[in-house]
Amino acid sequence: MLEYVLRRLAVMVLVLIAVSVCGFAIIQLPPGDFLTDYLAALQMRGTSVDQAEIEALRHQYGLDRPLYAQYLRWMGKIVRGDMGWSFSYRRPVSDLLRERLPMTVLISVLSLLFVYVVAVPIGIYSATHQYSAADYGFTVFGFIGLATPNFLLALVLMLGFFYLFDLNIGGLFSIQYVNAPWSFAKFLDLLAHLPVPIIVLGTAGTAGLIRVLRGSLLDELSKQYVITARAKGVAEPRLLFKYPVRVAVNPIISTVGWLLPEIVSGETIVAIVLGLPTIGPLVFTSLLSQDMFLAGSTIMLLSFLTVVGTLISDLLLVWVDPRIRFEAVQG
Amino acid sequence: MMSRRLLIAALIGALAGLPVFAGADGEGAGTSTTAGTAMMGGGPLSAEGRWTTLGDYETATGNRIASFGEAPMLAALVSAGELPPVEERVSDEPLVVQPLERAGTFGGQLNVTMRSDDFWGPQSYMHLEELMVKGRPDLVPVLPNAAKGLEAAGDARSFTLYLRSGMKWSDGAPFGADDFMFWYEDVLQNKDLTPRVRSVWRPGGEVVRLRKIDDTTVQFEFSAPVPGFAHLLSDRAGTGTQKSGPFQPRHYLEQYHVDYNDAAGDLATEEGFEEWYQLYGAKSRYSDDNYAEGLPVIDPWYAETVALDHVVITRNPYYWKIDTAGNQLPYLDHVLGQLAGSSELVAAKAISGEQDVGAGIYGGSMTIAKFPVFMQNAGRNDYRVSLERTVTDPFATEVTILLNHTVVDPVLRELFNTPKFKHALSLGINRDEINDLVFQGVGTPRGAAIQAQAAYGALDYQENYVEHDPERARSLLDELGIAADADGMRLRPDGTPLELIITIAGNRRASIPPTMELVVDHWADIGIKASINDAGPRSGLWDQFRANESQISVWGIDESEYFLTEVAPQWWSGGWFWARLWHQWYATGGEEGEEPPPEAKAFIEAWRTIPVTADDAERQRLGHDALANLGENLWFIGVIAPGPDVRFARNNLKNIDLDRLPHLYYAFSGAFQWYLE
Repeated sequence: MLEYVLRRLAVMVLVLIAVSVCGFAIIQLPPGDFLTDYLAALQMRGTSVDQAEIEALRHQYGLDRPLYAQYLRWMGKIVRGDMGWSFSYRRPVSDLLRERLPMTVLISVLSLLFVYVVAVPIGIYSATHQYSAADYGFTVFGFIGLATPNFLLALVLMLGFFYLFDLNIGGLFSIQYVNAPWSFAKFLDLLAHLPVPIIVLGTAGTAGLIRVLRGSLLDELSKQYVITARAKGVAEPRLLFKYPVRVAVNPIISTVGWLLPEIVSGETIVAIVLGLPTIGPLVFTSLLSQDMFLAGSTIMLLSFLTVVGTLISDLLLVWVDPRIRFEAVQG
Repeated sequence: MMSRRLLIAALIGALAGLPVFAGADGEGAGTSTTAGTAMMGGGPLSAEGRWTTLGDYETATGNRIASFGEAPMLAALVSAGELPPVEERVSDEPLVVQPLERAGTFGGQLNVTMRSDDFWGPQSYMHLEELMVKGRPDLVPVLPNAAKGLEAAGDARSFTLYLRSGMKWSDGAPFGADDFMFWYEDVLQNKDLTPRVRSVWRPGGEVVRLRKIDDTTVQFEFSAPVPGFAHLLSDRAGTGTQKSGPFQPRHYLEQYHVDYNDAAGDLATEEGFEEWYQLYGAKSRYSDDNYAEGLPVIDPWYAETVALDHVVITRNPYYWKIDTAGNQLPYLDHVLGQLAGSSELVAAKAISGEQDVGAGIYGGSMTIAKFPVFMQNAGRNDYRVSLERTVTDPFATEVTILLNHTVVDPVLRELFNTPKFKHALSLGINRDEINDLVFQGVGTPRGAAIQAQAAYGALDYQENYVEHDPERARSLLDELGIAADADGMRLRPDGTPLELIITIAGNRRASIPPTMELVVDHWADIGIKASINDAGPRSGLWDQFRANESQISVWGIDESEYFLTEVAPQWWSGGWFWARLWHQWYATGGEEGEEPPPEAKAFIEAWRTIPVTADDAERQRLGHDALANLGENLWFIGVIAPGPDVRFARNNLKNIDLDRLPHLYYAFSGAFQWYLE
């Protein structure tokens, strides 16, 4: 077992090195660099840019060095746990992520909880009351939820909440709390602003999960052991939750590991539409502007979390499934 | 020629302790009509509702300002002993402003929203940076601002800048000549901070010389005449602000400068940077738009909080402007700038009443297309909307078609350098249809133009070849031997089908893609096949240009002010997008690229000569000839100038004249006198 984990860790390091090379290459792939993009932006808003200024900035950003040197310079930092600094914000990347992380995690975790809290009971109900009116209703909701583009739902809900509840558009706080220190009133204001993003972010996931749960639970319910237990007179709730539901939620547990990077990065398009202060849009704009350290280091962080998450779910599988455990020890 | 003295500022000699230059030798005072030269006089100043100093105000109006008023938030600090009294803070010679409506009440926060992906820090966006001298939005006269006077001598080669005595930075440190010298000696001449000096600081090739005369006087000396120097100091791109010179807060930035602090390098490492000059850049905001938190400024507000999603700027307790009642400006305590990721969100925040004021073309959030939505919500959220455009805007044309005159394909290059071909392209465009369909009928169809045209006495050339005359276009093409095939599509002289590729950066200026789609239809009508290639991200267009890969690109002409100031405005003298290899030839001093043909050379070099020509008549002649040259050769084909954009303000925001609010760059320039009722 220990050997298995060590082997996985060694592979992890290799994967991360490969990711760093690919990530760096992809960020450098579009022609030009941060500066050409910055200059294009300056030109676009009508500022005349002097060749001399370009040179000054290129020197300041260290972009006058060859590519491999830039990569090594970045890796040298990463290895020391330094994520570098952002060209566009002129602040350390870790500062920027720290500023965005709490709200990102809050929104991601809450929308995950929303998904589970809504989807699991409905999925169980739909499976146990197959072809009932309610089951059809949930099925229709599920397909609509899957088919509606998130950003469209976001716009509709945002306007709806504005007209119905006079909630301000975009962002997580009313304007008087944007720069206010934390207080109970600010907390309440945050609570009022959370439903829209959570509903938007949770809808697709909820709809999907309902279908998965309903399907796998239906499979279990028709199995022999359920029929036997019911024949022997086991009470219905106990019968349902003791075995079939536990088996049916297994797919959820085995994907827990993948959620790690999602929780940290958050959704990007919805966040831009809703003006959410999460990490997704930050990474998005940094990729557009080729803000090398910000884009690269965040991608490295997310890759690291993905790799760790995968390891965790694999270990979970080893733990719950004897066949994999056997294979791992043998192999 | 006799030494001329150009002069701005109403200097009242006795009070200011300086000599009065006003028109003593019959030149200077109000006689200069050309943009680019400077002007002066108490008259225009009081008409603007500004007096250069308190002394000027009292002399001119006979009023006395016996005591100063201040914001309650500052009064509280004064009584707590944390701030000196207001008399000591406004400087010895505060500038006096006549409020637009009335003296306002202190306090409150102004809320605005801007796009986070625009590279526009709120300070820059709102044009809150105080300039040394203030250019009026119509670009012609120049008024004193942070500096109380500017005097030119020696054929516009030498300029003396007079600062206010007792003026202070927002943290209370004295502001003066030393801050200019710090910029000159330790920024401009530092190889790490300035590997190469910007061309504006080395007109004629030699770098400017700066001399400290006394604590409040500095002298600039150039090797060539710089008649537009006053405009340079009022330049929104920052030449006249602390953003990129000519002054920086020495007392604050010394700690980050390796020449003053041996530990500057360690400081940079601690803060997550690699080199001292990177941290210095982050702290001084050197040639960047993001305000550094806590950086001392001379602006009405300083950056108190700079976060990813919002910026809060707070009143400068040492601001040097007062109203006619003696109140220290600004009236508003804070400005909160929220950053939103999309232009839709910016507009939504505006109509939902979350913004107090807004005007803007950039970011596309307040375009004419949104006018109905703004009107619909005006009552609900108690704001007023204006579409007036009484002051010139920066867009001489919003859509301009740029044929690459040095395109690789030899056949196309021949065509692009044939004026008649370009005449045909221009005549083939139905500008009125574009105006109706894309610009809601409020745009102004016209050829390539600049704002400063009047200064060069050439107002009509922009009407050349702008009428829609497909017949004439076809016959011009026939004349050139570009015959049509059986389908009516034209063949190039070498017999292959004529196909043009137009590159646009569609995601930046919303009007360009629909306009160009119409142009493609119009050109098809005269037998010219064209297709649009969206280069996507904004750098795409730039990259194609650098590689000389583009055939035709599309942009707007929006640098009009530079015709008065810049040594080499990119657009015209640089061949920007319209002649890559010529551009390169000039940029490398003839080492790379190609030498332009005579008529192009005449056009380009006129714009390089104008800024360093002291003689008004000569400058006018050069400008006129160059504009006539453009009108005939159509180096770029203007399509349309934009109509008004939406500007709005909450009804309780006062001392703001929405109908006369200048364009974006200056929209917020009067914000120091706004107040909330």
